Amino acid sequence: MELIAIAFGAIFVNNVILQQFYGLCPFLGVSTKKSSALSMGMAVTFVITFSTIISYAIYTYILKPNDITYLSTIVFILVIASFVQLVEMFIKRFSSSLYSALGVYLPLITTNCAVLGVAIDTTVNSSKIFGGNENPTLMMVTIYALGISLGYALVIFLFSAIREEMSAYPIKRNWQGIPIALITAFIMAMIFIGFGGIV
Amino acid sequence: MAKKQKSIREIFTNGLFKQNPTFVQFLGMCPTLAVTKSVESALGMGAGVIFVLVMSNLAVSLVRNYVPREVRIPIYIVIIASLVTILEMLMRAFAPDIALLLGTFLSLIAVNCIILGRAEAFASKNGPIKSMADGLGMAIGFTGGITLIATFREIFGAGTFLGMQIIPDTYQISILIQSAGAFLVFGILVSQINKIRMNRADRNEVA
Repeated sequence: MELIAIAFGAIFVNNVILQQFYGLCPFLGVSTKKSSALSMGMAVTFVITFSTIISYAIYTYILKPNDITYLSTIVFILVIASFVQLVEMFIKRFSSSLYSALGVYLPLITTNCAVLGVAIDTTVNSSKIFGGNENPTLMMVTIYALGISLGYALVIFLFSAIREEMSAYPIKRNWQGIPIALITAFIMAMIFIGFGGIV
Repeated sequence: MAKKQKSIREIFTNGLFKQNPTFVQFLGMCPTLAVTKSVESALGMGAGVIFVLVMSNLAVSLVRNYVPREVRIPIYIVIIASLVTILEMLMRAFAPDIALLLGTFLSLIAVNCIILGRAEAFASKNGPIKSMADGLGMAIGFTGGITLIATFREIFGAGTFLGMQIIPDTYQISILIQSAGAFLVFGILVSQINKIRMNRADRNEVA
């Protein structure tokens, strides 16, 4: 039951884009077409889930016992950058169709702050998201990371569908592009506030 | 000598207005929306970015001739992340309230695209003094941008400015200090700034 609450909270209530503002650059940049938004969502889901598990392991078994948690930021960045590089090499070698779908987005993910943000939130700041629990289990962290990234994929996909529709309508010149996208995000964020009442 | 000084001033003001990271380039959007709930946290974030961007531009421009091209990005990332770690320690020691207010976004300065972007686009090609001027201009432009957003959100959302009560409770629009309001305020401000810029561009064309 607790795990379901964590997953639901991560996908809807504390939605990574609309509530926590992680990963906005790709959100506004890539979300003009449904197909590219879907690929980006898949790539982000994969990278966030696995890099969070790796960061959690490093934090719990290396940084914390040795009392060097102040190194977390720099260690996590290196972990994420090398993990993304590894994934890129791996799918380039074994699946060219997957590479052509995700390839362009993978290098972008290194600087997507959602990845580092979730890694830091589940380790250093874990008491904030798990209700005061400073030692979350691996299961909780994995479910949270998966929920966050599914929430990311969901919102970026919905948003791209809205933007595709919107491109057919005349919009005043000074509102075109980013401003109207921000107003759309505002309306979506208000809708997502409604989920807060469920948990 | 006079010519060189002018160019440094041009580099500096470039980041303030023409290439403003917040309203023109749309870089570093996550902190732009996340820390603008109050003017205090916006200024704290701005101070952090000024420190990291000036120092990272300086460091990158000093090592620019010794770094092989193929591995430059990882090296820049390590430089920036180390500076952010120093900043985290300094803030926790001397301004713990602001460090708490910024939370995870303090560490996330490390992946702020403005900083890596300036390292790659400017500091890796220019000398240390010009790079510092560029970093300072960009960082102050960013601080000004987020402070502007924060001013609107705090005054109309919470009725206060830097904690001082300005608008009575009944007339506050509390959605503006919730997460959703950030998108609204930022969207409106960008559209109005676009309007001013477009009008100016039209006038220049006619003239």
